[in-house]
Amino acid sequence: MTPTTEQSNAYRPDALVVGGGIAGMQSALDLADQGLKVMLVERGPSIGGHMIALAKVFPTLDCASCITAPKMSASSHHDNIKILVNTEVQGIQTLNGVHHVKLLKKATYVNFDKCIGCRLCEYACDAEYPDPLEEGLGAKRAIGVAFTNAIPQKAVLDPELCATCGTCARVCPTDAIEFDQQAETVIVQTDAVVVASGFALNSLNVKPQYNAARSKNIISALTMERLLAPHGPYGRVLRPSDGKIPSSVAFVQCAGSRDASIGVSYCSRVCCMYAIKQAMLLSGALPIADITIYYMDIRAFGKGYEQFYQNAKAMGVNFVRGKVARIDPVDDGDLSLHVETTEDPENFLQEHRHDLVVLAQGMLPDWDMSGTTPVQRSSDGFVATPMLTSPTLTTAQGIFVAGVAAGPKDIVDTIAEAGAAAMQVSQYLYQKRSANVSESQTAVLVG
Amino acid sequence: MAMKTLTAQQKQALTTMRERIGGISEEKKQHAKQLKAARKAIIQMLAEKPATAPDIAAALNMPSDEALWHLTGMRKYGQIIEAGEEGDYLLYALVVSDQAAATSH
Ligand SMILES: Cc1cc2nc3c(=O)[nH]c(=O)nc-3n(C[C@H](O)[C@H](O)[C@H](O)COP(=O)(O)OP(=O)(O)OC[C@H]3O[C@@H](n4cnc5c(N)ncnc54)[C@H](O)[C@@H]3O)c2cc1C
Ligand code: SF4
Ligand code: SF4
Ligand code: SF4
Repeated sequence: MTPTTEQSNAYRPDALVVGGGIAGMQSALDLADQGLKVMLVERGPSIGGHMIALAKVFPTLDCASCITAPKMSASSHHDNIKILVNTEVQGIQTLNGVHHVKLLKKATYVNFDKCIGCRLCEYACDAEYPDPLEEGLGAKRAIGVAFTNAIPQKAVLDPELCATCGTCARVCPTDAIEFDQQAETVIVQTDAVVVASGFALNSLNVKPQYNAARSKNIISALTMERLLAPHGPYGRVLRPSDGKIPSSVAFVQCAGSRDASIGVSYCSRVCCMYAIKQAMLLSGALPIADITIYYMDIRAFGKGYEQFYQNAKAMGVNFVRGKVARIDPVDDGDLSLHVETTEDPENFLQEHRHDLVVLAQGMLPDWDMSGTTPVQRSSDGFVATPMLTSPTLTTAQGIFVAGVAAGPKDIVDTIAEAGAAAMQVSQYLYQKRSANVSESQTAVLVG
Repeated sequence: MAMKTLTAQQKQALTTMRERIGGISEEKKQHAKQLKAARKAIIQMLAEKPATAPDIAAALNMPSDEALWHLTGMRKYGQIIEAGEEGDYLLYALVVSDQAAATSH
C-alpha cells in the first residue's frame, strides 16, 4: 500500500462536482458560467467519462468524441473550473452546513507542471499490458498518456505494471518523472456538491448460462463501442478470439437487467437504443454481415428514437422477439444461441449460430457512497431523489445529483439533468448566502 | 532517442518506489520475459512476409487471441501496419524503421 499524507486544501470552491463524465462537465460548466468557482474531481486519468469512449451516439449518429471533446476542452480552459484527475472522492461530512469532502489524490509519479505530454516515456517503456480503457483488447504501457484525446495530456505511471527500469526518466525531456511521489488525502471545504459519479456495467458473467467466461467472442457493449470507434484497439471490427472479420453478429438484450435473480430488476433504459445504434454502425462497417437483435421488447422512448428503430429495420437488421436462454461456445470460436421466441408458435425453441455476441449488461451505480456521505440511496442502489418535482435533490441538503448516478438514462436526459442540478446549486448558494448575510446584518443591528 | 543518465536523486527515488511496491514480483518478471520473446519471434516472422493473427498463433504455438493482442500493441506503437486481407483475416506487415515514426500515434 502506498502511504498517504492528509492535509486540508486552502482552495475553497463554491461547489465541488464528483465525476468528470458528461454530467459532471455540464454541471461544472453551467456553474462556472454563472461566476461560481467549481472543483471538478475525476477518479480516472482524463475527464470525459464513458461518453468519450463511445463511437457514435443515438439517435443522431453524431461522432461521440466530436461532442465530448469540446466540453472537455471548455472545462479545462474555464477560469472558474479547477480539475483534479487521478483523484477519488472518498466521503463527505457536513458540519454546520459546510461539506468537508475527502479526496484521495493518487500518486501519478509525474509532475504535471513539468509534463508536456510528448509521450517519449511511453514509447521508451517496455512494460506492456492489456489496456482496461480498451476493455483489455488494446495494449498500454506502464507509463503513458491515457488516450489520444485525453484531457489533460499528461503521462501517468502505473506502479502495478512498472518494472522500475528507469528508462522513462532517462528519456523525459523535462525531468517530469518523480518516482518517489506519494498519494495524498486532502479535505476540501465547499458549500455545495453535485454527485455525477455515473455508472459501471455488471459483469459479463452475471448469467452463467451465457458462458461468457468460456469465449472471448462474447463481449460487452462497451467493447463493441471500442471496436466501432476510429481509434479503437484494432482500428476496425474484428472478433477478439482470433481477429476474424465477423460475418454474423448477435445482440442479446436484457442480459443483465430486468432479472430479479441477479439483483437487477429494473430496465437499464439505454441498451435497446445502443444495440440498435451499434447494429446500424455494423451494417456500415461490415456490409455483408448478418446482424440480429434478440429482444424482449424495444424501449425506444425518446425524441426520434422510434424512427431510429424503424430505420434499423429498413436497413436489414434482424429483430427476433424472444429470450436467449443459453449460449454455448461451439467450434471455430462460434457461438450457438438457444432462443425461446414468440415469432413462430410452431417453432418457438430455436438455435442460431453467430461468430460474435454482444451482451446488453445492466447499468449499476459506480460510486457506493453509503456510510461515507450523508446521501441516501434508493433500493436499486442509485442516489435517492425523494422529490418527484425536483429530480436533482438528494436526501442531504446542499448535495445534488445529476446523470446516471441517479439512475440509468441517456445522454440527452443526463445533460438536461446536469443543467438542472447546476441551477439548483446556484439557487441554493444564493439563498444560503443571502440568509447568512441577513443573519449577520441582524447581528450587527441587534449587537 | 536521447538517453540521459539518472541523477543520484532519481536513482534514490527509483529505489524508494521499488521498495514501496514490494519489489518486482515473479509474475511481472515472467510477463516481461514472455513479452520480449513473443515480440522478437513475431518481428522475425513478419520480416519474412505479412501474416494473420492465426498464422502467427500457429507458428509460435500461442492462443490466437494472444497473437492478436501482440499485433494490437505493435500496431499501436507503430511497429506494424495492416497489409490487406487473407480470407476473413487481416494481414499485418512490419514497418520499415523510417516509416515507424510516421505511422505511430
Ligand atoms: C455501451 C453504451 C453505449 C451508449 N451509447 C449511448 C448513445 O449512443 N446515446 C446516448 O444518449 N447514451 C448512450 N449511452 C449512455 C451514456 O453513456 C450515459 O448516459 C452517459 O455517459 C452518462 O454520463 P454520466 O456523466 O452520468 O456518467 P459517466 O460517464 O459514468 O461518468 C461518471 C464519472 O465519474 C467518475 N467517478 C465515479 N465515482 C467517482 C468518485 N468517487 N470520485 C471521482 N470520480 C468518480 C467516473 O470515473 C466517471 O468518469 C451508452 C451507454 C453504454 C453503456
Ligand atoms: S521505470 Fe517503469 S514506467 Fe518507466 S520505463 Fe521502466 S517500466 Fe516503464
Ligand atoms: S513524463 Fe516526460 S516524457 Fe512523458 S509525456 Fe511527460 S514530458 Fe513527455
Ligand atoms: S433498455 Fe432494452 S435491453 Fe436494456 S434492460 Fe431495458 S428492455 Fe432490456
